[in-house]
Amino acid sequence: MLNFGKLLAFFLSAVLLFNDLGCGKQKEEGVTISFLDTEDKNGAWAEVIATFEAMNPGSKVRLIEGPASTDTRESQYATSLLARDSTYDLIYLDVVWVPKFSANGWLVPLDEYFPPALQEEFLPGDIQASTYAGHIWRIPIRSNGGMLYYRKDLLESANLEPPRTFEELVDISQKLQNPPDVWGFVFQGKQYEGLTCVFLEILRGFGGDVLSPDGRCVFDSPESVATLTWMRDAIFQERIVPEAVRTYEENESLVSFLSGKSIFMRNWPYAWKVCNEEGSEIGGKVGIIPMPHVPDQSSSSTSGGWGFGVSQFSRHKDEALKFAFHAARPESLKVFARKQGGAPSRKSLYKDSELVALFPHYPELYEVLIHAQPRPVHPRYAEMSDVLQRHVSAVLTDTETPEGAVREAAGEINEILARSS
Amino acid sequence: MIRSHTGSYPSDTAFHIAILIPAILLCAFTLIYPALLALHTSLAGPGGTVSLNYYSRVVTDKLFLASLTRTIIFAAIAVFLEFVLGFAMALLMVMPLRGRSFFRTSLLVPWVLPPAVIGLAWRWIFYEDYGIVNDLILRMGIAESPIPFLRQPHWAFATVVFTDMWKTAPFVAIILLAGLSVIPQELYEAAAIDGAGRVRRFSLITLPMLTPYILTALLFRSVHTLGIFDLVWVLTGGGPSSSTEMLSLYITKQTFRFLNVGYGAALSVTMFVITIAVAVIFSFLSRRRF
Repeated sequence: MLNFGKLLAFFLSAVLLFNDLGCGKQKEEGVTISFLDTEDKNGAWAEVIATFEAMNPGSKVRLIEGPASTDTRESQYATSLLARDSTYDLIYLDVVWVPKFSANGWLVPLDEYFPPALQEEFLPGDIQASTYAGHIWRIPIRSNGGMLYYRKDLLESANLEPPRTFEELVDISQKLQNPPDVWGFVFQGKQYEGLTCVFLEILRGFGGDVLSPDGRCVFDSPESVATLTWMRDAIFQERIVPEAVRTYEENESLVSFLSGKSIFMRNWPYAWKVCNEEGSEIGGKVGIIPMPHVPDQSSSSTSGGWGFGVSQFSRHKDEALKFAFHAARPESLKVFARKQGGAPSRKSLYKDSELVALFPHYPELYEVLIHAQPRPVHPRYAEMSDVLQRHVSAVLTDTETPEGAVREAAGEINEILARSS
Repeated sequence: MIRSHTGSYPSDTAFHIAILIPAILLCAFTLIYPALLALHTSLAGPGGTVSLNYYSRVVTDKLFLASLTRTIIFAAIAVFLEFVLGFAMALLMVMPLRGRSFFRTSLLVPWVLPPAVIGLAWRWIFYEDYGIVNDLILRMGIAESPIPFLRQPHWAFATVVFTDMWKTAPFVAIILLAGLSVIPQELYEAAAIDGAGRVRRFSLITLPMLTPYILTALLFRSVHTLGIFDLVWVLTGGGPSSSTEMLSLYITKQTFRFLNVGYGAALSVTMFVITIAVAVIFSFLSRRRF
């Protein structure tokens, strides 16, 4: 009755079915450079690729439009690179992939082509996050960093200065909020990568950190406990943060802020464009400042952002590098800024008259991004972030105490470090 | 069996082996080689030695154990519900009702659709803000606010169970229907004459006659549900808060996101052993009875 041959045949036919679904590879003439990114919704890539192809006859660039989810695209790159496959000549890297991909030998070190003098022209946080084990692996294109958005109009009419410290954030929120209609502060509180980014900003604002510069775990500290205590109390004691924040990603926080349901929001640079778009209820009423900190510490912004690395398995490394540098030219970065609304990676563009006319908040944005710090630069960062997400989330749902969470997370991070040494 | 008398044909056995060779070769490349490679990778120790390090980590990995427990709970609930629903469908389909063939055909649609498509469709249907289910619930006044089907851990788990049940109950139904249609009507008639009621006829004839089919359906469903990936991947991605992170998703995360290829291989081999064990148990059950 039950027979393994049949079972095998069943699975085999399933495998065959899926193999058939994979599309065949296209053959093209001349040199074609390929890379993967999400859908080119606003045509920014198309414009940058078109200028490159016009300047370099015979070269073609193919953007493979992948899923919107960063994790899925990372898996797509990783699967291809694990198989030493040459499908992708360039890798459009999220900052946190750099140590992992380079430690696996998938990226070409770019020190020769991207010397320190040239690196100087880019934002320091982006360069720091592109550097691992003494080499530079990535050419930054799009910068990113967290900051505090606030309702300028509400603060001005109450005659209040924007908050610099966590205490001030709580005070102002309590003065101006009216829960459950209007809350003080929203951020990304769901258990996912965004939570790690927010948590690191608050932790560093409290003077703590996860890894020391020499790579040891320094998470088991009073600062970490204070950070988690503050985050928990903001929900349950001070009640300036809605409980629903535990399900928020970027978009949910933005929706709350856009509809006037919150006074302060932690988010990335892209939100500014959305807040000031036509039809926005809060257009022109939004200000940005660096994240708060405790009185004797300074603000921190978690750097994010995207840039190009060259695949070790590419058959056209020189052409690939040429396109990567083309995409990092100021002219190209202006295209991305105008069409995608993201923050450019070159410092000079924050003083560019054309861009500042479009985006009057650039001087403030520069102040945030110039102080951006990378997430722990380590090949096992994804695992560490997973640990942090779980324990921070457990504190936000009040299922773990700050002390317990810090102890457990530090223990798990130490295990990860021990395994990777 | 028709046999040639000219003697120019090879023997049955040789012929059987010959026609199996392409399939065996294909299996060797697509199943056996990767499986052996995974085993090899999972046993790799420092400096080319053979080591059980990865396996000792498997046993102490709290996240793996949590994921295993979650997967077993999921499989138990889902297979049970699929079985009950599938059985009910089969009993309904075996009755001479009007529109039976239309019913039979349309029931198969969920089973033949690719799981990724189903995951995507149900994600839209269950979407909190503009999904049709919440729209109906709010309009009918069943709930005050939208139900967080995919946002809240318990709801998300239930949603995955429901979607899997929706997709695979028809599969159970088809297998049981095959079993039901070969039970001779005379048995029921004889039992009726002897004074057996509906319930006794069901428990004394239908159930025992159906047991091999039930075991087959349960085997297929258990093995498949323990290894579920695509549907969950598309529907919830394993979230929120790992509440739907089944074993295969955890292995994918370890292998492709954390790039712990060796550890991922050890997890895969462990999962393979667990799945085989389940298959062996069912196989043993079916042999013992018949």
